Amino acid sequence: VNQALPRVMAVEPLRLEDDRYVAAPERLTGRSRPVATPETAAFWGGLRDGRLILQRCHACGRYTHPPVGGCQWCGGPTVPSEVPADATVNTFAICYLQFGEGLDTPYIGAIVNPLVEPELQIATNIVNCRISDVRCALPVSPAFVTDGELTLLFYTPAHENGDPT
Amino acid sequence: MHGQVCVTGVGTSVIGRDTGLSEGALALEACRAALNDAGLQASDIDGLSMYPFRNSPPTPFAGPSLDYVHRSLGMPTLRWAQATTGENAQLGAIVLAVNALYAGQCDHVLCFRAHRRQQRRFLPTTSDLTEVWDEDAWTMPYGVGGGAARGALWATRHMYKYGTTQAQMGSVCVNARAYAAHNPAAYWRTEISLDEYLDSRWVAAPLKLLDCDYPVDGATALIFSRRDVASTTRKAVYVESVGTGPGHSLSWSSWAEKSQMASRQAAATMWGRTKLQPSDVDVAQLYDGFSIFTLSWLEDLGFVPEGQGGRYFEDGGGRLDSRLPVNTDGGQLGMGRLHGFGKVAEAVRQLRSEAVTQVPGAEVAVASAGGGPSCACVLLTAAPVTS
Repeated sequence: VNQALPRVMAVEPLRLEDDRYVAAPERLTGRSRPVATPETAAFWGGLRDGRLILQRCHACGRYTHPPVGGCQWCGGPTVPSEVPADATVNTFAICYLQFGEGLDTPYIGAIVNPLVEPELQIATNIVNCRISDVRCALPVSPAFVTDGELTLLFYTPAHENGDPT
Repeated sequence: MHGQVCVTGVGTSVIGRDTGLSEGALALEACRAALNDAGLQASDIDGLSMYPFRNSPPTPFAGPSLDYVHRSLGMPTLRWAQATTGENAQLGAIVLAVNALYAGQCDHVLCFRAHRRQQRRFLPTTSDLTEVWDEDAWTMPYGVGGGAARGALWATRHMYKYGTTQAQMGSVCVNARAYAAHNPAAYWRTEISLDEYLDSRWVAAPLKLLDCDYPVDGATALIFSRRDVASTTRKAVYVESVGTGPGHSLSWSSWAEKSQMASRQAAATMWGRTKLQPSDVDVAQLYDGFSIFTLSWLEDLGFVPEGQGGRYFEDGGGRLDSRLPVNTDGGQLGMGRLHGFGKVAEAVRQLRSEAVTQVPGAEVAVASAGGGPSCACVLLTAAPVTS
């Protein structure tokens, strides 16, 4: 059954007609609060300062995220290292129901790949854009939001920040 | 396994939105039906296996404790028991039971999955989401930690990479509901058209409400036995091979290429240990917690080329008159969410020629469960495969 040749087909990108604008939230009240651990404290502390800090491997130089006890690529020792936060959208979900506490619908759930290590996956929300603007491979820039004790890292289409990539 | 372990009994409880039964009562109904089906007494059972592990505080969706079922059935001393987490998906309970039997730990294992309808359908089953740890710490603040939002991330990527369309995903749902309409045990007894699917509301685009399996109260029980003691039982179906293995990641959010699932590794493990091939399979029960998962399973098990799962269903594949009927009991999209165990139950019924919608002469069946990094599958045969 595997002998059949794949058919040539036109790729149909996911496009929603919903052109509502989704702004970055001003408040994070009610969202689930990540509990920092010794391994993740540098990451969360970096967000508070508006910086993206990933774990960099002493041995192979690659980055690991989320942080664990070693390099996810080679098992070597890692140290916190600030990197540019720019990324591209890997995949996304337009959420019309709440799939987490404290989020207003609709919201754009997404996984982005940081340019510095494109095989890493960072969960986020895409904000400050129209729902219909979002697509896979879209360049995005960081948007840090702090509310009280919690800082979260959101992303916005790169051109929204004046960078017409 | 090569037929050294058999399925000797199968039972399903009542299925409904609000049955008024506890998860324990549902489990017992299915377990007693399986014992009766096998012609075995509770005193014959020396192994007990369930998915998932029951955390504290429990949720109704977690099911009863092993202790509850053990004492309720009045079982004597067990030689082996376990409750598993999801690394081999829901079928972890069955994978471990088969291994225990193969290793000679016990003779007959009663496996079950029982649950009341998940109340917070679209959130993880965690009871308190105020503070979150581990993978939840990275996903829940952004609302992509579970449910359809998580499934949608995989669907978007499959569409992006392979050109899979909304109508193709919908064809999985149309197929399931067509079977369910003929199944008296199914929750949904009406067919749907593709237009009805396309007109239904988004929950997490590209997933529509009808792309999500339907949460029900229900339970499934299966008895697995060593072949050398199965002569005391009836209607054995043989475990030819089991497939496991997440592959390169144990994490939903960190999984690097979401157009593929761990089903690829599980299928490779399963096919690597049998001389049977995809073309030998007569009927497939493929996980449909979300319709997108069915497409990945169909592809990764080798039934269609990579990326062509949507095309298969769009062209009428999966129906009784197609080359590979899929989810012949209505699946979780139509019969109700029996959480993976229903897949194995229907495969067994097909191989006994007892299914409600029977594939004529079915001799080889695949059952699969899970999605993302959490996948397992089993290859079953009506007769032992001679080497």
